Amino acid sequence: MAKQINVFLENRPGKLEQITGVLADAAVNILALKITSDEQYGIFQLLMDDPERGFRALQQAGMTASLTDVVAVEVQNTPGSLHSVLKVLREANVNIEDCYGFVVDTEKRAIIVLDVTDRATAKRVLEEQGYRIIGSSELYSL
Amino acid sequence: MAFWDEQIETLPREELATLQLKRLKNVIARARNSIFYRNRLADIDESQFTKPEDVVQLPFTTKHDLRLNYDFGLLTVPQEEIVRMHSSSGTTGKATVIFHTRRDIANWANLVARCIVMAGAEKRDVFQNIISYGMFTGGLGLHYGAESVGMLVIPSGVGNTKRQIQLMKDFKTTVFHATPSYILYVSEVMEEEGDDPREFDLRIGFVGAEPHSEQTRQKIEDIYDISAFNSYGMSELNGPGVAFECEEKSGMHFWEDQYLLEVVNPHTGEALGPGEEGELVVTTLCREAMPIIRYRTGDLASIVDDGEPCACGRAHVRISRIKGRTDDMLIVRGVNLYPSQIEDVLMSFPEVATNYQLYLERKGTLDELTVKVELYPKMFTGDLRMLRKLENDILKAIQDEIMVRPRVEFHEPGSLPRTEGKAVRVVDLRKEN
Repeated sequence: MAKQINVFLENRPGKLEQITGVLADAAVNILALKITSDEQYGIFQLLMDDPERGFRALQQAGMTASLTDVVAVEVQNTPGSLHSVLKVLREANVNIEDCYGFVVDTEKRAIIVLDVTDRATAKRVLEEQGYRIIGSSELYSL
Repeated sequence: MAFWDEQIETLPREELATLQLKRLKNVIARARNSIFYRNRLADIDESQFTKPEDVVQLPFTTKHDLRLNYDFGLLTVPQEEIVRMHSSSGTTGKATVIFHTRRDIANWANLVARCIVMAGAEKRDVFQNIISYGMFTGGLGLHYGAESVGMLVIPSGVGNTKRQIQLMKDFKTTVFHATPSYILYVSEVMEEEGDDPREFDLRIGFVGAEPHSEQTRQKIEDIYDISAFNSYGMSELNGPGVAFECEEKSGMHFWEDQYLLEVVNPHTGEALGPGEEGELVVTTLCREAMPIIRYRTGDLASIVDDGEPCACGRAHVRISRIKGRTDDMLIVRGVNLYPSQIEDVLMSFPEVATNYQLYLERKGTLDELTVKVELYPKMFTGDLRMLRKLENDILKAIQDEIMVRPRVEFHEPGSLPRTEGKAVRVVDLRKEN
């Protein structure tokens, strides 16, 4: 499965830049990102081309980071694609905690990144419906 | 069970009382050699004293008295007889100075040696003294005591954390002395460097100079896989070596042959009984250069009252952990609280790291307490909901303890100010009116 990096950060000017600085120095490429924050702190979530290296670099820089599994599904970059994926999951009663997506190339492909309560079921039902779950190595070479 | 001075450490209580009375009379007579006590004790007739408890007839000595009589006002010997001066760390207000004769220094080293041996350390141990030297008494105090025991002493002082770790590795340190906040910081650096704190040769830690909770002790013991001992002392009473835990760890044995202990109500000065929490008031029974009589330490604790003598065989009373200081008690929305109460709560949550800070502000007429804590990176799951739940759990636990609803703020590890001596735990931004 694909790996997502989560970084805790205080909600202050310059904090994001500090993180991107560490990743730039480690020559890790960011594929997609998402920020959830409230008044005082937030979590910066990233997909990278080399999550292990990115994770180590963040740890060495003294940052509070974790590495979690997420389900990355390949879809066509057309209207209704996300809806179809969500329908499959709803029918299997899989709850979605978090979701974001990105377009990968000019061939109209997109990747939907899902953080779900039951990753194994999500993966199974989506694959049964003909979806391709992108593993880490493929994702990172995009 | 090892003793440094078995005869005096196990002296039956009646004999201890006889010794205390004799020494009390001597110290009063000696104190009169100082300008300060000559006046202060003019009306006292100690020849009428029949028991150590008669000390209550004497007036208290306060830190204010020491400051007013800076520099030599309490000195009882000619200046040429003094061989050392120390100064309080000035945690609260202006510093005070304390002088020692050669015999005072020897006596002090002997007391510290008692503590070291009581905790199970011995001659063959390698002792790294990870604490400030200089005017602060923690450094030289333990240093001299450990040398008396015959340990190899590494006077590494505080700071330069990577070098501290290297010294531990190279010389196979088995015993350390440090403040709780710094030694916890050292473990964080070990982990960052890829070292497992449990893999070192450490077996015993002396933890002092900052009041800390039982949870903090356990955290230190778990992180390093050692046995940690609490230490009590203050520069006015020499420094470390006033009271210390034995291997039973049910309170700190207070060396009553050298110090006469009272516990009083900090507001009224009335004597309190065993088990009752109040301010420690101490008379030095043996110090030559600068005896202090009925010193108001400002430290809050109680005499352990479990109805039986300590299983270690020592007759000297035990005091509880220091619960706080009369001068660090905070009044928030009319409620009295001590930072240590909040520390106790925080240390029971594995998700938070070891450093914290309390911020007090006044919003309109209302006091607002913000508890700033650092997250412990290893426990971070990357889940915002988990953080919100944790925030709420901590908030509720603190509210249950202190009856005031705080704000809880999470910070990145290492982002809260950390001092290498005594940690600044409270920032009070409320305007005095």
